[in-house]
Amino acid sequence: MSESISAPQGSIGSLLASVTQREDAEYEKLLEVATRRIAVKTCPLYLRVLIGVGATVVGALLIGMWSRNGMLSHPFPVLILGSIILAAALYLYRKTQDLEQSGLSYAITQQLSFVGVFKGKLLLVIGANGVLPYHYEELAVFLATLAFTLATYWLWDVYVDRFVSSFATIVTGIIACEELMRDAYGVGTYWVAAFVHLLLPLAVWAFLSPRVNQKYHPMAIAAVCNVGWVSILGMFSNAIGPTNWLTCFRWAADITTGFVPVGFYVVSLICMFCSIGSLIWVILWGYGRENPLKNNYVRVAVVVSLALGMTGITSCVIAILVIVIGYVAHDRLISIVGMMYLPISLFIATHSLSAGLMLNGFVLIGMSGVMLAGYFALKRWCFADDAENAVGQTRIGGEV
Amino acid sequence: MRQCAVLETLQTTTDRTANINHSHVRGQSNVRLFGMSTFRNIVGDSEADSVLDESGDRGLVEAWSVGGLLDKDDRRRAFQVLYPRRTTDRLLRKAWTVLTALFFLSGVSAIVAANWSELNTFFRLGIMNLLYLGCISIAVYKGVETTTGKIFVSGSAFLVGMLLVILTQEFQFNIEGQWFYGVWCLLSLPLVVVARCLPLWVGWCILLRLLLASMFIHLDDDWQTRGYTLEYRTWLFVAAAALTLLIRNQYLKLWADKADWLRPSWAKFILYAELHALSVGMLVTYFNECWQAICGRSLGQGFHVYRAFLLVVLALGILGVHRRIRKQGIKAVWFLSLSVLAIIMALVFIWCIVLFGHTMPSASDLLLAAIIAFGLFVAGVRYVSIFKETNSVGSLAEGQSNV
Repeated sequence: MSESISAPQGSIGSLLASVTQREDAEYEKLLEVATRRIAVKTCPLYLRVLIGVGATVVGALLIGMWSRNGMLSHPFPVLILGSIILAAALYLYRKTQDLEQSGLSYAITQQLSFVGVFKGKLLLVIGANGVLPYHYEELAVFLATLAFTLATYWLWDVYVDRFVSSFATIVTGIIACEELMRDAYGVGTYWVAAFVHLLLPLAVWAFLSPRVNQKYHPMAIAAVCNVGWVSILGMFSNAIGPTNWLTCFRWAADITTGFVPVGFYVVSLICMFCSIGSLIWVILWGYGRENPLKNNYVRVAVVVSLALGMTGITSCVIAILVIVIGYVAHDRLISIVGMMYLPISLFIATHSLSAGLMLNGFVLIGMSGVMLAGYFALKRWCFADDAENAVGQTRIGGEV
Repeated sequence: MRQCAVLETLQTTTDRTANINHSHVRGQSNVRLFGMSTFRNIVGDSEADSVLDESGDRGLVEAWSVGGLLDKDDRRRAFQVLYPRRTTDRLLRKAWTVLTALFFLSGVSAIVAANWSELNTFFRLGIMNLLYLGCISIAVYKGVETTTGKIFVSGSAFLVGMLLVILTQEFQFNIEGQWFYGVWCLLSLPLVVVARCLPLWVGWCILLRLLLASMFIHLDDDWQTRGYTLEYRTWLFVAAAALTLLIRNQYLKLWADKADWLRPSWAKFILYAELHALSVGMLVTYFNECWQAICGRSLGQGFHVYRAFLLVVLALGILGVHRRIRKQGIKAVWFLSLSVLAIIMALVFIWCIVLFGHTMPSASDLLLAAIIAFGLFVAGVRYVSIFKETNSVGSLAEGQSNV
């Protein structure tokens, strides 16, 4: 097939060795693409940390100065000033792209642009907080956050900033929605959880699909993070997630007495199906070929996902989903985040008093039973190297 | 020329199908393809020696495939390299088993917690003892050199603390924090030494910090001695961090062949960060005291001469560590950045103390402080950039001369 090139497993060298030979014309082209891809080198993290801390310190001192002058008490000038500073910072950032990284001018302009963006965003939020009348502060902050995210997302090419801005926009959006819904309709805030969970399939698609530009990945990750904390919060406060199928015997009584509104269960079901659907989609996508359900791996994984999801502990399903996404996308950091999220969600699940410790305990033991059954099914059908399974190639499992 | 044309075609095709983002940096075409890992996006630089040593990922294979450089069979072979069947199976089995165990243990713990008040002392202690013995047995059976063994030893070290909690609750010992953490530290130390597991060591160091933080609590009782509590505790923390670093270095020197588990530098970085944060904190506090004394302002506890001496020692210490890190070259660039950050922060605080004094700062004072801070950070960024450039070029030249 190819000559053996000594390279670490999974490295570009080993990939090249698996598909071509060194003397082939293809080799150079493949290497060229890889080289150009690797050539994308952003400013290293340690420098960005240094610049970021500097921007925060200088920005805080300048905000302190304006606060001392009494400038921050007039919202409109603050908004205008924030917008001007943000625009200037973006212009400076674009200018830094043409400068030598070790030069003094690069350090100054980079630092100035970071200070400007930090301060501009902060001023916009402070200004917006005072523009709208009492009770609408959350909406104003959300609109300001949305405005600066839209203004900077495509222009300011910094991964962490894109993530933080998107995360802040969704968080402020959730809070604003909650306040508005409570004020206008008097409905419970649990409906917001349903809207947020609807973001999950969208975010998973945006992260995995090769048709979606990489610049939208921070937004997708921010959305998944938001779904994660909303799910945990829901489970902790009013047990969205743990209360569905297994507590159905309580439904009739709860609904008729008006103790728990019907919408609560509808929201619970929406959250549950969003997470199960996303997990199953990732498994099917990860297979990478037509008719994925013909494969034993996929069949067992789908059945186990359905069974796990039906127990209703949404946050655990989200944790598994994130781990699987990390593995399928070959993105170790994402998997690690999922691994860290799982014990947290389990901790919350075992401390969620609104659903009851005993009930949660039994649900979790049931989940472990499902996992065990799935393990034996896999052992029987997939882990054994039988010829029957050798039907093709998956993204998840190599040759199957 | 032909190759350029092919690449151009590839570029156009990939651009159309995969939304490639072009940007021009210093006149060179800088292509951004989809699928770069999140870690790389956040960290930025890569430390690999050549392109061939860089880790490949799904995005690269997709890019080759979309550009028409790989046919279906090649793409399959590439995926086999990225996701080898045996590795995946092993990973899946382990992950599956760990998940099953996690769900089961969480379920059992929730049920036990729900019925905790119904259990008597015998059962409460019995459950913990059984878990402890179980962890130890599995660790011995699997061997402490295996990952499973290390995990179970870590679990048993944690359970020692839980056992102490139940003992103190059941028999109303009413012991103080330092005794609780002290006993936990002592009883878990043999397990930590045997396990030779870096995360467990870090966990034990955190436990030690809890012990140190709970000491000198009696000084808080009296307002005259309250001011010393923070100082003594901080110096204890500094001593603990410095001693740990010293022990680590000696261990690596004496038993280099057996100390692979101790080599990862993240733990060392945490210790350095702790040392720098504490040193800067104490330096600023002592400077403030000295400055107030110089300005003739009255101080609550009076001026201590030994603190002026310690101020000099701390300043020299921070600079000395910086010099030592600098000598280590490009591999210590993270440590150098940390050291630079500590020095800048110390200077910014000192400048603010000098400028503001004991009064509420005016707007012009704040502006001046901001300008100075800006200048210091610009200088810091430039210093680290130059260090990085110089050392990278130096190491490259050294490598070439060796070849």
